[in-house]
Amino acid sequence: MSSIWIIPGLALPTVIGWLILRILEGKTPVLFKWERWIMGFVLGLTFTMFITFLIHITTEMPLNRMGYLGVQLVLTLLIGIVWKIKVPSTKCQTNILTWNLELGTWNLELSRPLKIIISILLTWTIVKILLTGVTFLLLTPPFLGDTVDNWNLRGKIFFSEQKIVLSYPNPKGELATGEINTYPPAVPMTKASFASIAGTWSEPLVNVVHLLWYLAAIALLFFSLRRVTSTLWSLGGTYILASLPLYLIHGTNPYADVYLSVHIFTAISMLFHAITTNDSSQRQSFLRLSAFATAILPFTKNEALIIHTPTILLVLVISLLWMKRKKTMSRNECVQTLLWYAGLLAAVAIPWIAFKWMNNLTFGNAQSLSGINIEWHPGVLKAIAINTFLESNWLLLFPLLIFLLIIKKHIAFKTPLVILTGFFLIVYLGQFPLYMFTFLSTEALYQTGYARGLIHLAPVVVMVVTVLLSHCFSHNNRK
Amino acid sequence: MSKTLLITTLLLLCPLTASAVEENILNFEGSVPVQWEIHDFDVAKSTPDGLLINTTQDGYMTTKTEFKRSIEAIAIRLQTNQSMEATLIWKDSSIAKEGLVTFPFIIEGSEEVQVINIDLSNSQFWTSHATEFGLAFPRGANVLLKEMTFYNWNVFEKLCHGSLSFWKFDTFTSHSINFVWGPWLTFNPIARADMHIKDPPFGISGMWVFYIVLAFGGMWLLWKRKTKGTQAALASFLILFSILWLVHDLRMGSELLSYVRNDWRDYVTKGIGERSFRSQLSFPDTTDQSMAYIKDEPYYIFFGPTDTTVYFSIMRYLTYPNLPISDGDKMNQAKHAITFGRNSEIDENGNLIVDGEVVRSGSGSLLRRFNKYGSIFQFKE
Repeated sequence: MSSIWIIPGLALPTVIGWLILRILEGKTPVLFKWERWIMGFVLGLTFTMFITFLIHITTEMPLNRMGYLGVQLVLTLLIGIVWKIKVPSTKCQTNILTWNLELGTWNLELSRPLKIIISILLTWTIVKILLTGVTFLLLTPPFLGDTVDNWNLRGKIFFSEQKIVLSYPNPKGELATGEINTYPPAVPMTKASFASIAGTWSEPLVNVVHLLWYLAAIALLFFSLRRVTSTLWSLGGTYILASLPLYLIHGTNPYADVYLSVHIFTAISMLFHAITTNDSSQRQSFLRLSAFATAILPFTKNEALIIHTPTILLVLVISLLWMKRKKTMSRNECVQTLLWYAGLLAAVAIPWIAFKWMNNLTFGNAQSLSGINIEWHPGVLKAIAINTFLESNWLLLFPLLIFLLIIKKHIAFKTPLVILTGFFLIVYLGQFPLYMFTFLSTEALYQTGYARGLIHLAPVVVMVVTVLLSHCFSHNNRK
Repeated sequence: MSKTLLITTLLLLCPLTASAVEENILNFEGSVPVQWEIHDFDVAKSTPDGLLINTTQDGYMTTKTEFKRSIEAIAIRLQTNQSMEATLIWKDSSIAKEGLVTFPFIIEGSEEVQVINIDLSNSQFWTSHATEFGLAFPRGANVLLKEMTFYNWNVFEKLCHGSLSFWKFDTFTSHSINFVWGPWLTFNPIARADMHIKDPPFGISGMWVFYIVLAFGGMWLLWKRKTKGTQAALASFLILFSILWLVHDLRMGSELLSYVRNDWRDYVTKGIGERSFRSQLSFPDTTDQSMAYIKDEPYYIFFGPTDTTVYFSIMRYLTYPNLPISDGDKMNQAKHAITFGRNSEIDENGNLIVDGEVVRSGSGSLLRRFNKYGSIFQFKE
């Protein structure tokens, strides 16, 4: 029952996230009603932890119940005032704010066998997620290395010491610096905040949030797909993501890769929708949302700072140049967009990087990037092929992706979908040289890190696959 | 017509599948079958209960062979109370003109007669064309060899066992967070029984089944494209893909639910003292029961299994701010020591011995043994 404390732990951060998203949307709301709440939970929680972190390192405010709740109350108040002033009071300008998923109509349109199939798959998926989530996160003790070496350990130390700690006890009982302290503290702080509010450290309480991040990833994919495909295809894409075994295992164990994946997906999918829409004001709303989600990224995991954020910025710049060339966006709009991204990103990245610099924290993923020797590591490509194609981590997702990229190359590479396709390919293929030529080869050879890189990208890949699949079955678009 | 043909074919296949596994048995009870060459056994005596073998140095026995069929696996029925590493040996002149190829296997000592099943179908060195075959035992062995059975399965049985192995699940291990093997194919029951005892498992990836079906489906639809049209052929191919996806999801979802079932069966529904948790066995019981002793101790000694640091990390996490130590100056100040999966005892001087080494000197005593693997010791000074 201790996990019930998750509700007060999440309430204010979610409200803060909702308010920020609504402010960023401005006069043109573009998110579905529930999408805004779910995205608000994801981004609001990380943003709240970032502000708490900032206040803590600058004022030495203790990270206790008063500290966490105080920051959350003040933030809610301040952002609430901005929301009240900035956001028009009219309830919903368009029905896009409502639950307009046409769920009422698909009853009429679908055949009985299809309804039965959907019902079976829905039940199967819910049973799988609930049973694995409840068992692995709530009912069994810690089992996996990174849980007890990093995410939960650091959270418990922050909770016990009521401060950010950068050294950890070694087998001699002495405090030592290690590589795990280079990770952003967002996830451990989240856990520490729940425990502080509850007044005790409890496994179910600090673990249950991982299941919520997993469900958020699935839900946000559904809403994102719903913008560009039918309800049926959106459900199909959601099923595809929920059926990936390794993604489910990560969603139901205290690891932070699904957490990162949902942040990445939010940032890049909002950019995709911005470029897809023909409405200028909607585009600006999407771009501001993407800018906010991108800005949060460096505070999630180290990979986000050195791999995903730069790639999103690259894709953004190319997209803006393309939009400018097409005369869909004016020079002013492009500059304004860049300023949004630069301003928000600087607000998060500069303090975090400065903190790292001042504390001699490295920038790699628990590994220093300095002094890398470049040499060929045999066996890496074979290990990658086995993990991707001969194990069941992704079911048949990657053969399907390759097939669809070939037969629907026009859609994949010559429509706005290229934002997602390009982002995935740049990040994915960009990691290959690291595995093939640096000491990071062990991450592929021993299969310790390679698949996690794909976890981060899974919602993006599923989005691409689902959109391409929908085009395969569309009679209007046979390209 | 086609239905009749199908039924007839199935009926014709029945005798083949009913013929079951082909066994070639060498029984040593009462007499020694075939001619054996004995090398360096002190005793190799035929008895009514089997061939009694005693060695004071490494020795082996071989016989000339000419297997009529492909040998996929071997079962050795024997009796010994010694645990040892024995070896299958055979001569394969394509690998080495002289000498013998070796295939070690473990015998766990037991008072009872035991059967050791050895899969050879997944050994890249095994050949049924071996001209000599035998067994080797280390020095000091005392074994009663009762029977050797050589197995061969026909193609239908192999298909059947391949299908069964496709649905044999792995367990939740430390690598499950990085990758899951998924369906795996072995083609006999002996290989299937042990397929997940090592990584990668015995056999080949079951993903090939999907790719083969997709390849055939794709080729058929390419051929049909002219009559059905490209769009219809593509739709059919993707429907085939969807069906395979559903099968695969069913397979992997069932595996994940089997992890859940194992956790409920072995941990969630069991009381303290009876619980077993995945590969960590009774470790959670040890941690739970030792908490009361160390809750006021800033430092305590902890030694877990030698091949991994995760046990130490779990202790550090669970008991923080009380810290486990296994090295350094604070060792002799610790008032309690917990060991799990290690040979640990207090010697006559009160020193704590772990795997034969003194790790904490002083006036120690055993406080409690929690189960087969866990212990807690107390020190007065």
